Amino acid sequence: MEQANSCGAAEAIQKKVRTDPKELIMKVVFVISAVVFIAAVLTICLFIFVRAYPAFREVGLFKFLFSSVWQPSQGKYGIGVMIVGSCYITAGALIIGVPIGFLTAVFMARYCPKPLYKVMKPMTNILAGIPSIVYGYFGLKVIVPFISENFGGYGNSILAASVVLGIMILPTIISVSENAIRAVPKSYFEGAVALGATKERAIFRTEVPAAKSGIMTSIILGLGRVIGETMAVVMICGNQVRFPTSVLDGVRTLTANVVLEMSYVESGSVHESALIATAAVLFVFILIITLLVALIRKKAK
Amino acid sequence: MKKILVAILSIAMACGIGFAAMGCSEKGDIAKYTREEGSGTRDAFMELAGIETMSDEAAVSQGTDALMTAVAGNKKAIGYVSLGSVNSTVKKVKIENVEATAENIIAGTYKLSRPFNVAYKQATLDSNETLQELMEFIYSKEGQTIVSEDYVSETLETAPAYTVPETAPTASVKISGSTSVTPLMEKLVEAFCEASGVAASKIEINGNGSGAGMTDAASGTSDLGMASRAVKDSELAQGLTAKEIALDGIAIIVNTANPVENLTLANLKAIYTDEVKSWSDLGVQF
Repeated sequence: MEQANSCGAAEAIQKKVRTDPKELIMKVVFVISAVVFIAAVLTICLFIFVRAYPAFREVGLFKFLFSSVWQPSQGKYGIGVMIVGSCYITAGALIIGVPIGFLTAVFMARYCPKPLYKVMKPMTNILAGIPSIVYGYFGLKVIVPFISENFGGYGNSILAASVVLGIMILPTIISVSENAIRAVPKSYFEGAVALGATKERAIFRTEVPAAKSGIMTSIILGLGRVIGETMAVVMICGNQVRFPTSVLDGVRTLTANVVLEMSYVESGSVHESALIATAAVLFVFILIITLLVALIRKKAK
Repeated sequence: MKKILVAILSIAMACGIGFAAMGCSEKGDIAKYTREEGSGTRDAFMELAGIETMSDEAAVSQGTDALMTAVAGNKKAIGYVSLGSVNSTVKKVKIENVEATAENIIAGTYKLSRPFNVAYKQATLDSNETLQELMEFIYSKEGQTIVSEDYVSETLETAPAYTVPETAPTASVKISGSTSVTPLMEKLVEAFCEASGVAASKIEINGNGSGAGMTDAASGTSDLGMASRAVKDSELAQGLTAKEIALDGIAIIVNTANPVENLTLANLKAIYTDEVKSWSDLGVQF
């Protein structure tokens, strides 16, 4: 009797799934959403590469990527300096942001007393929500004068940009790493402590290695944010087109190059195409980073 | 493995700091700020100071405000902005012993001055009543009085009084171009709307740089283009009519802590082409 009943219920459910028109409508809605999303991504890719193509053709891919001379008025387009600049600033931001972010994450996940946690968690969220132009203005008003006063030079420098971007990526690193550390089963910690490890040893030798993939993901997400950051960087990085010789020198990044000159270009000119090509190079960078994340995730599984 | 990585990183950082120390002594202490390529102020400054290629050591600031903020924050900084935009956070420097004032610009003794131009297509002007009215206002006594508040008006004495139209025109006007002309245009438009009764929402101003302004006006993206430099022949060839609405000086600005009072055009050229790298070479002691 009981069996028959449950059988009947299952059948009824199946019948309902098959026939309910609401389900059908929702299915269509889901499909449409997915199609719109995919279309948006493809359109952007297509737009960037189609518009960038004239510059690659005119200048030559190799010369465009590796030449260090960018003089649009003389028809010279080389983004070597910008690629180096983006790499320097990204590296600098990670050197500053990763240790602070990672250690804060460990603190918040394992050491933080509850009342303090209740304050810190919203604080990281607020930090994540501050618009980048505000970070840029803060950098220009506070960090840049501080650097020029104490270390000399322009102030608008790789160092200034690294500090500001290092702060900007903290929320990403903190929240993703913290979640990763919290996701480690309690038994790892208990096991380590039972074997005589101190709390620090248990955390840094068993829990952190177990959360490695999550922490790596957080770093790479931060890296993605740094390399794509525009408004904050353009205000504080100095934007010079030449190879920097010290961290106190300014440099131009890929994003800054696009935003600085985009409003001055004639539409349809090689200059415009070269700027979009700069964006295309950036796009490829981001693509590589995304692939790295996917790879790390896969490996972790 | 990890120890090796740490070692490599620390060596790299040590090198970086070493380079930083070396770099400073070589580069001198003048922190020169310039504007981005395509800026009318930059073009005019380079032309007036006789600079052919700007030093690539000069930091590039996007826009007048960013440049002034940067100069205000750096004791050793020098930069150039439109005279009308200078505020009290920075200090103006005399050029060839002449102060940057309206009188000196009209007299022609202040060397760093340039025209503010607007450009339009004749067909656009003919078909747009609001634009005609706006142009009339700009060249009227009222308009040129506004110009002379921050900039220099050459026609203020002879300008006719503005006659208010019986019915306010309703066509909308899009204005784009130089970020240096934008503040003046905003003031003019505000006063114009008040005087003529044209709804303020009908006029849209977009500061996107002289070059872009001329391109916009030629292509019809905007009705009126603004340029903070002379309109180039190549731009006039695209069917534009250019008119001067004001004269502007380019002020050389330094930090308020900088004791320098006077610079020559030759000094400026030397600074911006890397021939002079330290304030002490110019006889300036902090």
